[in-house]
Amino acid sequence: MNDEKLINLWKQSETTIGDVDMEAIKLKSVKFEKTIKWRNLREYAAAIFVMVMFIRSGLETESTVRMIANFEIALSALVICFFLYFKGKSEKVSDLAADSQKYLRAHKEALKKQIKLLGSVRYWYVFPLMAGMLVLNIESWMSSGNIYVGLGSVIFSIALGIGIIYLNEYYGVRKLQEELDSLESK
Amino acid sequence: MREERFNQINNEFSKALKRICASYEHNEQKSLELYQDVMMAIWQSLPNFKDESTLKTWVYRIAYNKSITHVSKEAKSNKLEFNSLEDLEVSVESNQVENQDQLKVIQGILMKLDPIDREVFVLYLEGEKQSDISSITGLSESNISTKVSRIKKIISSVFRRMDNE
Repeated sequence: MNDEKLINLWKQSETTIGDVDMEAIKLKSVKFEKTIKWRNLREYAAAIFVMVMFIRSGLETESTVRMIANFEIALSALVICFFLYFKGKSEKVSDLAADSQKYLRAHKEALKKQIKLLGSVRYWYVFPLMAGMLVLNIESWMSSGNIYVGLGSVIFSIALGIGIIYLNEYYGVRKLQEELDSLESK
Repeated sequence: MREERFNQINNEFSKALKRICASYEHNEQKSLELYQDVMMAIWQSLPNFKDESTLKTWVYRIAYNKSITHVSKEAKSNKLEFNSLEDLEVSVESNQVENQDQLKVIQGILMKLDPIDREVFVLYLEGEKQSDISSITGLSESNISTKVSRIKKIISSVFRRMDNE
């Protein structure tokens, strides 16, 4: 079969993909952009709220240990903001209108950056926040003398930390790694 | 301006874009979703369109880059690799290879190619010149020529094999 016949044959092919409503595409796009914007704003607002709350709490307390723990948590929230900012930047790296080779290289790099960031979530997210939280929990436990409440809050904090680590470092990284492996094999 | 360009893209390229999406995703629902994603990416990227490339090259780049990303995300459910001719399992009901059957063969082979080879060959099937394929894929023209002739050989030998059966 010559080139012309092959091309004609291909162009005759009908797909099962129906027409899509272009107005719906535009609306979906606007909604998507708004969702991303609000998600980022919510993350920053939550971090600022945590910072303000713990700085205030640190300034009000008479206990030096509690004051340090409160300030440490506020500082951790600032560090998290910093990492989230860079995570957002790495998500935007790949230029869709670049040629496929350039796009693939950029996309793989962006995936590697995201894997690195998610894979180290314990260091920049969980441990800094947990350290302050555990000090506050243990301090409350010692001062109240209630072993059940004290131990309960310590266990809850640790379980929360383990949950965050699992979701990001194992589940999240595994999904990104699968995508990267698939691209690397091409 | 953005709306005008988007409507122009929809009028001029929607058929080709649908064929591209269908060649990367066989599942009916998922291919529609991929097409919607491509159109959404085009709409979102339109403010950044510069006349450095033709509108067609720009549209095709976005469509292929989205499709390749889609394939890699769906890698687990679409484990399709092409290793050799013997791996091809193309079934046709009739011994007489009619147009419809030939198309099925081509689509079957496309789905077994890796995404970059698939991109090159679909662009060839869309009637694009080698220089345009090179600009869309970023591959050299000699590389493209090698890939196209390799895939054409595979298609011809499958057609021959079917004729002999």
